[in-house]
Amino acid sequence: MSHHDFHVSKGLSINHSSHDYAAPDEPPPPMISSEGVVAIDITRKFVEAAKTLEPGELVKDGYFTLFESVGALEIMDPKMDSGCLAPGESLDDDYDVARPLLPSEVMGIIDQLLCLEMAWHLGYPLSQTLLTNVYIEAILNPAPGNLQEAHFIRDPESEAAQDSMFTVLRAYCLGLLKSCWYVNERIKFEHYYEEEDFVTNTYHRSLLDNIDRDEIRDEIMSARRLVHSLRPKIMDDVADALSFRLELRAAFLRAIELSELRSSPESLSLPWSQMKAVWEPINKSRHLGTPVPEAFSTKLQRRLASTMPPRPIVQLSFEETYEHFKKLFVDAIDVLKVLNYVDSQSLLNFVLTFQAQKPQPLVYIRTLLQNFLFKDMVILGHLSIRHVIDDDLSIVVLPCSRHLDPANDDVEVPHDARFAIAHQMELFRQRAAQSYLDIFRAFCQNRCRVRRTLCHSIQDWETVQLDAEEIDQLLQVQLDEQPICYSTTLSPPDPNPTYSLPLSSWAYLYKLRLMEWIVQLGFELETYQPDELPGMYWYLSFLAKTRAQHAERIKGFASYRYNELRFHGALTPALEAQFNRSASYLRLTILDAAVTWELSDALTRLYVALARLRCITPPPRPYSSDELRYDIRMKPFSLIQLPELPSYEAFRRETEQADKSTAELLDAAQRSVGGARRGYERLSKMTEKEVFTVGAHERWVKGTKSCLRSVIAASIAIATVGKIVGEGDGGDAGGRLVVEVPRAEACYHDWWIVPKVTERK
Amino acid sequence: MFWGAFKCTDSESNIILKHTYEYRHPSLQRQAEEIAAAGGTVKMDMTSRYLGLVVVPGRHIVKIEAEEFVSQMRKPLPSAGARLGALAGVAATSSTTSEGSSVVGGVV
Repeated sequence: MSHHDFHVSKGLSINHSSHDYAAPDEPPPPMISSEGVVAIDITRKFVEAAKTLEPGELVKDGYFTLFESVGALEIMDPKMDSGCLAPGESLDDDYDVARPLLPSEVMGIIDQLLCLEMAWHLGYPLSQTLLTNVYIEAILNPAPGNLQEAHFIRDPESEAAQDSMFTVLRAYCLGLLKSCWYVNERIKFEHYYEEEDFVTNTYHRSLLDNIDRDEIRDEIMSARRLVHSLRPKIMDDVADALSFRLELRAAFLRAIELSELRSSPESLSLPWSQMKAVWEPINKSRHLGTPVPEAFSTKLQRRLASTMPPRPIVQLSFEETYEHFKKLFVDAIDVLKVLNYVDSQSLLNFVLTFQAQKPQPLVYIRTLLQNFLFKDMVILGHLSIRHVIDDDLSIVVLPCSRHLDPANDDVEVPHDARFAIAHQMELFRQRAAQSYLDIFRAFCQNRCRVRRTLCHSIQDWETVQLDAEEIDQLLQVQLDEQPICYSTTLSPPDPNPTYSLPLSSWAYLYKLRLMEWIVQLGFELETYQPDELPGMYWYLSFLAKTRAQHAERIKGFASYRYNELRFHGALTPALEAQFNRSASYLRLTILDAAVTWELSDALTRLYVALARLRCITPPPRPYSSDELRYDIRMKPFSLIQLPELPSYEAFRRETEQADKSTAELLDAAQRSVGGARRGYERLSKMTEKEVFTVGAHERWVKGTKSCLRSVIAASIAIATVGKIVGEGDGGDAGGRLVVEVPRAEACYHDWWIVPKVTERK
Repeated sequence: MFWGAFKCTDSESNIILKHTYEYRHPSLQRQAEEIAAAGGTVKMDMTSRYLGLVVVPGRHIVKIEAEEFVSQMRKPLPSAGARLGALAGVAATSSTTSEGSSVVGGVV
C-alpha cells in the first residue's frame, strides 16, 4: 500500500506506524464520451474465446495476483454490491428535502443526528452514520463553494429557502458538520489506529472545510433568534428544546476553537461546561421530538465514493448517546487539567490514571490529550522537552546534581569539565527524549495497543540504558566521581564500591516499570488463562522486587550525596527541597513496588493452593508443552538482558513452591496480604504532593482504594481456603469449595484478579 | 455499466476489473423530474462512482466493449484469442440515450 505517510503524527511518533488505511488511489474518472476513443463490441468474441478455456484455467494480466482478487466486490451480490437493486426497488430515495417540516420533526431529526454523531465518535464510519441523512447529504453534495450554497435547498430564491424550520435545521447541520471536520482533522493529526479506534474516511465529502467557522456560528445565532421570534406560534417548550440544541452546536465550535490554545484550563473549560449544562435539558426534552426515519437511508451509501460493500446504519439508542456525550463533556473538562504542570511525575500519573478509566475516554479526547502534550514539540504549550526530562531526572535520580546544573551551558571553555558535562547531557537527552515521551503517547492509545506498544518499547529502553551507561561512564570521569559502598534497607551493603550510574539507572527504572505494566495490562485485558495466573503474578512479584531493589540503590546514592553536601555546608533550602522531593518519590516507588509484590505473592500462593486442591485445573493441551507455552508467553521479555528472564525450570520451581505444604503457603499468603493491606492503607492516606498526583489525585485515590478492596477480598479468599485445608479431612478438600475466577471487569481493580472462594453448602 | 482495466477472466467469462467506475442512467424518476422542469427534451449525464476492484459474474454480463484509440486502430485480427491479450480496457462509451442497457455487468 502506498500511503505510509497517511497517519504519521506531526509530533513525536511511536516506533511503528499505525495500520495503513487503503485509501483508494483511484485514477481520475474517464471521459466517457470522447472523439478519440471508440468502443468496439467484443461480447461474442470474448465469450466464445473464454469458453475455449478449461474450467479453472485463467487468462490474466501478468502483474495481477489472485491474492489481490480476494478484495474484489462481486457485482450483483447484494451483500457486496451496494448498487444492486432488489426487484421493484428504486435507485434513488424518493425523499423530498423540500417537504415542509414541523418543529417537532426538526427536533426528531436533530436527535437522531446526535445519535449518529456519537456512533461516529465511537468508531463507526460516516457512511454508516451521519452521511445516511438526506439533509446532510444534500448540503454536502454537490460540494458547496460558500456559505450561501451550503443548504439542502440550493435555490435561494425559492419559497422553501425562506422556511423557518429549514433555516433552523440547516443551521444545526452546518454546526454539526463543521465541528465534525475539526474533530476529524484533530484525530488524523495525532496517533491513533484506523478502524480500531476511528474511521477518518470522509468519502470525498468536504465537511465544510472551506466555510468559515465564525460565519457558521453567526448562522446558528440567527437561527436561535429566529426560534425565539417564533414563540407565539410554536410552543415554548419546543422552542426551548430547539434553542438548546443550537446552543450545543455553537458551544462545541467554541470549545474546539479554544482547544487549539494551550493556556489555562479555567478559561478553556467554559464552553465544555456550557455543553455539559445544556445537555441535561436536551435529554429531558427529547420526548417532544417526532422521529423522521425516512430522512435516513442506506441508499445514500451508493453515491459515496466507496469500495465498501453495503453496511447497515449504526443506531445508538438515545440513552446510550446521552451517557456517551455526558462522559465526553466530563472528560474534556478533566483533560484540560493536564495543562497545569507541576512536575513530570504528576504529569505521568495524570496520563496513566486518565487513560485507565473505564470506559476509556473517546478517541477525540485522547487525541486532544496528545495535542496538549506534544504539539509543536512544546510540552503543554510552554515547556521544552529538556525542562520535563531534567525535571524527571532530578526527581528520580539526580537531585541537586552537577549533571543538571543549568550553569554548565554557559561555560564555553572546551576542556572545562562543565562544558563536557553539558555536552554529554545533551547527547543523553537526544537519545532518551523520544523513548521517554513515547511512554506518554503510548498510554494515549486504546488499552490493547498500549500493551503491544510497551512490548516493543522495552527493547528500545534496553538500548537506551546501555547508551546511557556509556554516557554515565564518561561523566564519571568529568565529575571525578568516586565509587562508594551504598547501603540500603532491603539488602546488605555491597562490599564492592560502585559508581552511581544515574542516567542508566533512570532508564532501567523506566524499563522495569514498563515491564510491570505489560504484565498488569495482561491481567486487565484478560490475556492470561486462569491456570497461568499464579505464574504471571510470580513474575510480577519478581519484577516489583527488582524495581524496589533498584530504587533502594538509587536512594543509597542520593542519601550519600545529601550527606556529603550537608557535611560541606552546601545545602541551601532550595537544594534541600529538591532532595526532599526526590526522597519522596523514591519512598513512594519503593512502597508501590512493595505492595505490588506482596499482593502478587499472596495471589500466587492462593492460586497454587487452589491448583493443588484441583479447584482450578488447566484445560487439556495435548499439542503443546508447558515449557513451549512459557517461551511464547514470555516472549516480549526474553530479549531483555537485565533483568534476565528466569529459565522455565526456575520459573516453575519458584511458582509451584513444591517444598512447602499448602497450609504453609496459605499462611505465607495471609502474611503477604497483611503487608499489602498496610501498604495500601498508607498510600491511600498520602497527600497528592507525596504521591505526585497533583491534578489527578481523586482518580488515583479511587484506584488505590480499589486495590485495597482487592487485598481484603484476597484475604477472605485465603482464609476460606485455609479453613478447609486446616480441617484437613484428607479427602477431596477442594470439592468443598466453589471457586470462581472473575473477569477483569468484575474485579474491584482490573489488575488484581482475586478468585471468589466460598464453601459449598 | 462498469468501466475498468481488464485483469482476469475464466471459462465462464467472470471478469475482474481494476479501478472500476460504475455508470448508471439516472433513475426514471429523476429523468421525469428533469424533463418536467425543462419542459421538453433534456440531456443528462450518467451518474458515476468509483468502486475499485470488482468481479462481474459472467452470467450477469450483457455486453462487453473494448476501448481503442482511434489513432491506433488496426484492422481486426482473425483470432479472438490474440485480441483478448491486446486489450487494455473493457468498457462502453454510450452517453445520452437510455434504453438497451449497454452494460458490462449489473442489470437493473
